[in-house]
Amino acid sequence: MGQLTGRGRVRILAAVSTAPPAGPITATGTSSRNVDGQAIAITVFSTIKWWGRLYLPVLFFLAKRVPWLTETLRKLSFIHFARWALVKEIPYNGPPQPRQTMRYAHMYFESNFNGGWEEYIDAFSHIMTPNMKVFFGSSYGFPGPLPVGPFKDYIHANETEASHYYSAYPDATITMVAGALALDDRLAPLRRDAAELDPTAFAAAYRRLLTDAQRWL
Amino acid sequence: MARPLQKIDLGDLQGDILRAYGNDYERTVYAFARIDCPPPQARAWFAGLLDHVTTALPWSAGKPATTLNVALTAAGLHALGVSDAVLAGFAPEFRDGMARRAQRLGDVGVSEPGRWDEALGTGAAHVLLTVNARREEDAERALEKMQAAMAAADGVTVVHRQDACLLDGAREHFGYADGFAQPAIEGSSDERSPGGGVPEKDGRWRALATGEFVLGYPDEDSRDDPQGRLPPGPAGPLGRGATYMVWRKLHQDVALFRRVLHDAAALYPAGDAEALAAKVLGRWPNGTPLITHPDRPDPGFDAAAPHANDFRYAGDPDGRRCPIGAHIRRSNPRDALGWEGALSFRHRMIRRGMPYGPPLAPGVMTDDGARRGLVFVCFQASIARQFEAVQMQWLNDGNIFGLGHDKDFILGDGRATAKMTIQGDPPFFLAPQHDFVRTRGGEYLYVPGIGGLAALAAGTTG
Amino acid sequence: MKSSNVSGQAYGFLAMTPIKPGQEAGLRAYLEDLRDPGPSPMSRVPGTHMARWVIVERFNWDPFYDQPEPDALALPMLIFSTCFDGGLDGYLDALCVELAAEAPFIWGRCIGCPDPAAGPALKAYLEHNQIDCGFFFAAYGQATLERVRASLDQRDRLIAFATRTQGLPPAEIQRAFALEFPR
Repeated sequence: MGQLTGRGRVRILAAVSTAPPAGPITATGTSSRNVDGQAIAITVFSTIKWWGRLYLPVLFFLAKRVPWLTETLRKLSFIHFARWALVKEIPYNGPPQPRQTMRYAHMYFESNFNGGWEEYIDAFSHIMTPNMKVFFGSSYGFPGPLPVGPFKDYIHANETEASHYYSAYPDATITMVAGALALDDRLAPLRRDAAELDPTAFAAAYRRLLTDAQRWL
Repeated sequence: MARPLQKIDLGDLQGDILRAYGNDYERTVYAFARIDCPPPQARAWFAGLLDHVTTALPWSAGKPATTLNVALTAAGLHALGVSDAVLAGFAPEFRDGMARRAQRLGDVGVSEPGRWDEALGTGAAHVLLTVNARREEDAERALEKMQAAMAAADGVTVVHRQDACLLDGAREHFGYADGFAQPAIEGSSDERSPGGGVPEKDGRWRALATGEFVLGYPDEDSRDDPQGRLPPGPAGPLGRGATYMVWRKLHQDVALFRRVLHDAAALYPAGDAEALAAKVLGRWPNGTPLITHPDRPDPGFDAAAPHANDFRYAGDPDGRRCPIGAHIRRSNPRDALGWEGALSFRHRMIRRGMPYGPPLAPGVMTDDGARRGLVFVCFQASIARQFEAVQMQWLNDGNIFGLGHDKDFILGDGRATAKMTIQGDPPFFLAPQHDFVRTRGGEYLYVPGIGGLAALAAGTTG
Repeated sequence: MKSSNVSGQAYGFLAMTPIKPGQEAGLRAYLEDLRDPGPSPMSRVPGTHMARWVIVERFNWDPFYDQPEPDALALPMLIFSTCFDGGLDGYLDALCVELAAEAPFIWGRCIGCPDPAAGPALKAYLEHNQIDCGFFFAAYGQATLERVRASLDQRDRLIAFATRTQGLPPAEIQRAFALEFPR
């Protein structure tokens, strides 16, 4: 069944799998094939205007080297891994593949994220507004990040559902992973010293540990 | 950006949505009716209701003894003869019905639809008649008249009835004063109420667009649209002056909740069971917000005072005043998620719930087997974005707050390892977390405008 | 190793291979059934954090866009994307061994894939079809899969430990801690 979005597009929402879930259901708003536990895959191609071929490589170069370009992305803590690639042609493998398969260059974007699809795009629209203009500015048809409705329609029209998606730790979210790693660093000294401390010293150290680490638990 | 203020057509909107009828109306009866006759006959019965439906217009002749409001499930719209083409314009989650969304809502195990109360979630509930009354006898009289009209119609029967009644001090069964903090909505009486809208810089608040709660009006997304297009919704008269309604009967195990808090309080260094209960909710039992009064309640707290709801969380990022996972902080994070509420402003709900069942006497910690709890009712333009997203992402999970998969302590969690962290030096881990609240049934409904009701009765919905 | 594919110690490998005419439906059905039953075959490839196979049949084109013509992708293509630990070379070696059973039904349906679809020949095929990332983002790119899993497990155990030992005498907590979290 579909929902008329009022802008002339129909969005198909697939049913959630009927198998009992291992954890809470949070990965909403997308096909179940894009989901593994808490992790959601999004795969998007957008067709690039001629000047994007020059612009995007510069943007990618800067994104890696200028931290504040990705600072908001980190703070939002939605994304495990993401990548952008400018695809001008796929490599040639002999007949029957023609030498040229694509007329235009395309930008490939994929992400592995947590939380619902709707909430994810909402965050991009409302919080990463300038970043969206920068990344999608050279893509044909990009309606701008706001209002949210047309932008979601655009992403949805350019998105392809995964046939198979895998996460090695499907129950964990980025924040849980980051918290677990920080906890590991914080816990290591106490693990090392616990047996040697006298009870009073241990009690104080354990209390400090819990107080410092509570935001990761 | 200056826009002409949206004028709301109150005559086309049912009452109790933008403005609550108030605590004078101590009794509420929810009657779900099933239609078993053909649409023309059903519409004839339905038409008989219309003169009695209470609108949103201010009362000029004093408060009526009773009010009546009407809502329909997707099955109910179908039973009244709404075409499939028009039905397709309603939200998919509404057409699914709440029972089919059970897994995502966490209605599993003891809360699964197979165990729900009579008729709920089975497709039998078509039309919900909500009667608010100041006195019980008035409610009964109104119900009798409605039953008589149904009998005369021959083919409409009440399949589920739930009575609800305000408790002393406008509290709910766990003992908390609740239900007074509502969204500030453009065009409504509360629109300038500080704290109810979107937090802005410099401590100001902005009212939410009407269309976040009432269909046929611009919503928050329309603000960003140069063409000011309206959000999608059903076509024709059904799409104006209307809203979606969530009705959910939640059984509360008061004895168990008291026992767990009582036992945990023995280990809690920073207070007693009442202090622990306040940490769980985010308010003291009398309603004082923990964020403003972390150590003890304000005995003079008045929910109706102009700035009672004017508080934010950004000054308490570590949750030392109000725990990060406290119920009210989860269900309405305000600025707690950063970026001036950009992640939360589109997930607000108007709440109009009522407790049901007799109170458990104070101090009693063994269950008496009585049915008691909360009839949770909320109104919003999008059930999926506003109710379901909050339920799934903010209440039944904790990741957005950095709390992993911790669930709202009050709602409960059957997993053995469940807990709530009460932030502090040191933190306190409140456990065990049981299923304090169980879903006994629910429905997704549509509340048409007055014009929409008339079109339904006349069969002119298209 | 192109540095744009790297973030911390994590590597983002992306390959796009054209699908043999007439094989798309079969490939799609095969990929969609990969978990039925049992875990994903990618769970056998050491160091894999996340991975996906996606089939792209066409690029979206909308007459409302200012794009002059549609880009009719000449052949549907299979995208294989993976995020993993460490060096590409060793990873592809392991992948071409671990996916020996599945590869003939996946890349074996793509143009130019060696037969048998295994070992060094398959690795060369995948390398040939690699698309370099413009920008690869990893939220915790310094952490290996093993460390992520071990840390998550430790977090679970500490939460359970802290909750169940709450309020016990300090000496008892200390003893239990040394047992639960040895040096």
